[in-house]
Amino acid sequence: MRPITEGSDIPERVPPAVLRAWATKLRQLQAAHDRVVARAQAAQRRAALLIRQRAQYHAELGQVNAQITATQEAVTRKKAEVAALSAQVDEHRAARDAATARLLGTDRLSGTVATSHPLLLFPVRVETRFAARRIGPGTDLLLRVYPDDIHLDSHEPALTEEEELRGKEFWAHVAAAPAGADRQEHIRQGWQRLTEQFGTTRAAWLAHVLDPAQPGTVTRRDDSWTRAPHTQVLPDRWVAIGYRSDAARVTAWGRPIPETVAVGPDPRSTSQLGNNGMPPVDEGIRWITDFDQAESIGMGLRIPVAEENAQAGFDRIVVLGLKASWDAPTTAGRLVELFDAHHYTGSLALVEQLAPTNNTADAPAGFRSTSRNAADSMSVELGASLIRPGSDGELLAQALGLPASVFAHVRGADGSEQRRSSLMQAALLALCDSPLMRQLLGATGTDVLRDHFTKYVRARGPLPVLRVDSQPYGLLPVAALDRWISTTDQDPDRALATWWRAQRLTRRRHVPQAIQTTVESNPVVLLAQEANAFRYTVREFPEVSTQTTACAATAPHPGLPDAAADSRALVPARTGLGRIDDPARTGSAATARGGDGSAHLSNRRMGHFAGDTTASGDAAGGTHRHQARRLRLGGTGPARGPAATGPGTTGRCHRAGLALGTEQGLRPRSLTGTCGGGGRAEKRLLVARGESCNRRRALCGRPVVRAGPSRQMVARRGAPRSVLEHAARLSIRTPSPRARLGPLHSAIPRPHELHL
Amino acid sequence: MTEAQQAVAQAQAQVQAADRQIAAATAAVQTTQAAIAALEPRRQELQAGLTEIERLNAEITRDPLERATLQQVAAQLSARTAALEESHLVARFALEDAETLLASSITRRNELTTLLAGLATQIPEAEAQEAAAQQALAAAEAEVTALLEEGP
Repeated sequence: MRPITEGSDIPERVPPAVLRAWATKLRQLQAAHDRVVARAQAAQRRAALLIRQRAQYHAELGQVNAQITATQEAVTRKKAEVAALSAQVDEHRAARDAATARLLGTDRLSGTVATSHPLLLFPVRVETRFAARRIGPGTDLLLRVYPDDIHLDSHEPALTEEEELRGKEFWAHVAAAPAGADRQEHIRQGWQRLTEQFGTTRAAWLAHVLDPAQPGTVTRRDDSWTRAPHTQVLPDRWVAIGYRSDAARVTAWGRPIPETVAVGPDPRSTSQLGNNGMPPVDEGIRWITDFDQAESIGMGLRIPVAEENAQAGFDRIVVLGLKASWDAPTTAGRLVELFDAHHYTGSLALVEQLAPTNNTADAPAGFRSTSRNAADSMSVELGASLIRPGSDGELLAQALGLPASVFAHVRGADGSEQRRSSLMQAALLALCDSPLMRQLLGATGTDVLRDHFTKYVRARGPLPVLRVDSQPYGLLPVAALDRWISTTDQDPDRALATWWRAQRLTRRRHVPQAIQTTVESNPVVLLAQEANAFRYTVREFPEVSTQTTACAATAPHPGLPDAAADSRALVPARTGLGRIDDPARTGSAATARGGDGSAHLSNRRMGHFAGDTTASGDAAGGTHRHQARRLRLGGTGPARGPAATGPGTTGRCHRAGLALGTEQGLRPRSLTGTCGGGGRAEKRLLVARGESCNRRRALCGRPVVRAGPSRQMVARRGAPRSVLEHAARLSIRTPSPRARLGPLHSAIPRPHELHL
Repeated sequence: MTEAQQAVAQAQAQVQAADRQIAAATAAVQTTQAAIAALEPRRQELQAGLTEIERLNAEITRDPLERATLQQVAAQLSARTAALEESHLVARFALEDAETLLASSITRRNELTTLLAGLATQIPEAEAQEAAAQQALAAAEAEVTALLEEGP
């Protein structure tokens, strides 16, 4: 371009219009040039970006490939390690179980307890105390075991002359009854005379043993009281296992227990009254007050403990034993005798769910200590058998492997609670929906799940509640899910068991976090509070008109995430996955199946169990008295451990769970642990046990009832507000008692594992 | 004479070869003996394990049982079982973690492979676009230059 000093660049002769056109053209070209520059820059940036991404991806791919290679090697290594450990664990478990089975059995090899043997575990009461060792330094744990009410037998089968005379008079009166409408009234009058003279239960025994329709040999006794109350259903010996932090710290075996152990004074004793004016303690019941005597007959254990255990104490002590020296027929016979003794001395009945344990302004208690009217008792004792197909009595007899006739005249045996529950389950299944249900459906299929749910899932337990006097006993079939096996490949429950095992293992990893994140209360405790639904919620669905979520284990809570519903029912609400009448089942497969009435203790052993005792504190700590009354029905191996009832050590009737409930102002929950089968009826009836404690106090010679909240406080009706609030927050409105058997408790040692 | 010397030399060579063989064999024997000696503790350990298993089995199957001894055996077995169960659980959890990591790694590898496959087609396209843009830019610059040189 020329310098400006040389003159104008633009000739003066260029017309302005041409100049403007030229300038316009130049601006257009500049704009186009700018656009092209922008496009080129964008294309350059994009290409550079893609190339950088490719380099990054290549680098990451290299890392990932290396990680995959290393992880594959790790997986291979871990698989081999798991396989090797699995084999070792199986071998050691088998050896441990074999040794345990020998120890629980008789001394002979033929008396070994097999894992295919179903067991009936009775509750017992345990008292513990640390004491200085007699010889040398150190501490011993003194442990006493007392039989429970259900063990006791004060029945006098023989008749006095007067009883025989009046009994025969009664039957003569019956024989002379006129036909027609007045016949029943005529018999009732005779029955009333008999009951007024001997009491209802004894009159029932007289009528039973002197029934002309069932002639038998009548034995005679020369006095109204001829023998001491006793028990003949104690095990061969006790074994006590002390746990701390879920690990067995000490195991001790007791001495052999005699066939018959007296639990009350002997009327033929010649002992004199003591200086304190108390009844004499004869030789038979000296074990109750003399620890050395108790130790000598196996009812007391002196357990040397290490100093560490003496200082730290134990979280839990489990005491159990088996009567392996009896064969199945003998066991069945003893059970029949025991139930007959309760039937004809105190009171034996099947209790309905939700029966109150105490008299309140709203309703009377489910137990009456006074005799019922003659017509009522006559219909039960002298009427037709109460056993009906599918009735609760028949179901209970089948589960226990007893003839149904033993409950033929037991009040409540004609109930249909379980059958109704099954029908309710069938009705509810179609309405229940939750992620858990969908997962189960995917794992098992609709038909299998429906069948299982209808037959076995029971929020209140799969067997009726038994009552001995005023003491209810829940029967809960238990089995070890981890060790359950099926005898056939076609068993539809296999898929369900496999699914639950995997779920339990998965959730077990998250249990610590689950407990930590719950600030309200320990969810284990929370889940134990209520076995029955106390609220129903209706949900509206677009495609379905209404949905009733009364199903405890599956109903999701509106407004809460589905995970809450899942966490509420982590385990099957049925505890038994197999049949206990299957003698071919091996290992720990002996489980119970109550819903279809097929459960049958065909090869039964009698066992005893007590747990939930806390022995902690200093060496001079007082005696801890606890009792969790429950009958456990399960296989030799699979009997699941007790609930961790916590440190509650005070309360009425020294039931551990009850004590905890009263301390917290909650409903007593001593039977809500791993049992849960009894539900509210058990728990409430449990409270009405003051007289039993008083009786025991008389026997023991020292007070056994500790100070605690009033009975009325314990027995108030309805769920406590605090429980309701907790439940509402956590969507645990109707926690199933079986949830106690779930992963939240998987870390709790089980009795069958016997960490020796 | 020559034949005799040859025979002697041959014999000497054979002796040397034999010496070498002897040395090699001696070394092999020593190596084997060392290996045997190294395995001896393991052999003794296994033997002790077998003896212990036999002892446990004998106590478990003794008829009638020796209760005190069997209680000790049961305690040993229970402790070992508990330890093994704990180890098994830990190993199983570690296996699950490794499997989870492997699955996620494989997933990421697949993702990266897909992304790289996409880039393999996108990059040439972008480079072509870039080249085209450069050509267009050169053309635009030339056009502007020409206009300026031409003048109004």
